[in-house]
Amino acid sequence: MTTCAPSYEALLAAFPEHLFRLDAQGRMVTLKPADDARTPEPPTTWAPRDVDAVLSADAAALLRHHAAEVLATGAERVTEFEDGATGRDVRFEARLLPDGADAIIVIVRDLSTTLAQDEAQKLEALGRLSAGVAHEINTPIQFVAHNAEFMSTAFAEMRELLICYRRALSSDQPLSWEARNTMLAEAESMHDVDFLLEEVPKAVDETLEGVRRVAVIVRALKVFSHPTAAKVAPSDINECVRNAVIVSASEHKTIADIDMELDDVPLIPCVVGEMMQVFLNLIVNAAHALQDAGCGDEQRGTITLRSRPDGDDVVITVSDDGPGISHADQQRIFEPFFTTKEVGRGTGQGLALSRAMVDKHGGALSVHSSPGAGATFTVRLPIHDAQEDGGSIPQHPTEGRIAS
Amino acid sequence: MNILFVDDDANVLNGLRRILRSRREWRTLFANSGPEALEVLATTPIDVIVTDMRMPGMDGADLLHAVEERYPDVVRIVLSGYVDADRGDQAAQVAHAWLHKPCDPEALEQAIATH
Repeated sequence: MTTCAPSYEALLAAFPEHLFRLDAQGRMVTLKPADDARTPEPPTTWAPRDVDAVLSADAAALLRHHAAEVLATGAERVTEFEDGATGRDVRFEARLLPDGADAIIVIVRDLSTTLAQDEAQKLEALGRLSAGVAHEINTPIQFVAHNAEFMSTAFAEMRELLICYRRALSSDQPLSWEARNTMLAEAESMHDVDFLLEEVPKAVDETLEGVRRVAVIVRALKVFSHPTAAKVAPSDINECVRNAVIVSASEHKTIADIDMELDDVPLIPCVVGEMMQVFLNLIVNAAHALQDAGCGDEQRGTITLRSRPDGDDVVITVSDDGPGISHADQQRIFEPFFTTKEVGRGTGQGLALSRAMVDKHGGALSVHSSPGAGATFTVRLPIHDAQEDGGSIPQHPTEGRIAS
Repeated sequence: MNILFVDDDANVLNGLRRILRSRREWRTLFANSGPEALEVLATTPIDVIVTDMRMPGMDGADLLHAVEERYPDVVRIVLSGYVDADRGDQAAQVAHAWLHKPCDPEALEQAIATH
């Protein structure tokens, strides 16, 4: 007789985490060693061993403490611990679940790989951002430098000309008016004075414009360097959207027009640097979708950014009038590494990272699209901080009871 | 020598025009877009083309491909503030030199003079 039920061993093998059973006396039995050799337990037999013999004293004490709580309350717990028993400090997350009245099941996950992935995602976003920003700054710097050099030579020529005029007027060289006129006309023609008179003021104006362009971008970027940017603080979400548009200009300005319909909304408690990354991702994705649909050649696309208050939330939408997203892709679009872009254009982490950031703020990121009728990404953020009493949004899951 | 500069940012072209004014042996021409550059090429013999990469419509890679096909003797130089890996590779195949903004006038003059 055949059966569809998977084997117990196959099921366990499918989990990358390290699983063990811990009893009230602190004896552990490994059910499934970790795929990652760094987890603090080599593959073993079913023979029970004392937890203190496997983990460092601190980690073992912490696990014993939480195990006792789980046994007393019957509720799951999640905790993090560091373990130096493997020769280097590695951070782990342990989930403790009751298994009958006198034992618990512990699932241990190596957090250092998760943290490394987070870092990689942030670095990728930063790399993409800095490439675009570099373009937006390099272009004005190019013509500001050229104009400054031009003005320098122009001043030298005007100086030469001034010397000619002084000479022509000096009393120890009495010349006829006719001779003076000829001499000065020659000098003016040699230094192309008409050209200089016309071009120098323009060069000054264009230099100032270039400097203003750089200043606008740098101001928009300031959010990333400001000390409060990494902390939760009441933030003007409309300004955040406007800055994201400025910083991502190199990605959309040849492809789409930006339409902003930003209503008055209250300040939102958020990590403004992270929200800016979310909007940057959504704007760049919209621009890429429009570019793939052929925008930028004959016709331009439109990216519409809207914000409005909605009950206890503020809703920000990023819409494009591109080809839309198939229902199948919409199901998977927030999965890490899911991408429809060609190799080199994105690693499929932008939306996964964006959703994680919005989730962390107690908000929600969703997509709505009818194929052929564009796509709208909606960011919903709560106006009131979940922890009004000055608490901050946790950077990583911390020790605490799992909501049941 | 006739040199054609192509950039969608008029300020960049103005800066180049002013800085290269002293090179009397060069005749400098300017175009705001790829199609405009092709119009100039159709009526004027050009020795060197220096183009930006990111331009609306026809970008620098498209333009240099067209120039290579129609005017293979023209020296093709990219002057860009942005390297789009994908388009950059395509342009690199048809460009004789690649200059990055900001590019000082000496580097530009050298690139033009040596090709």
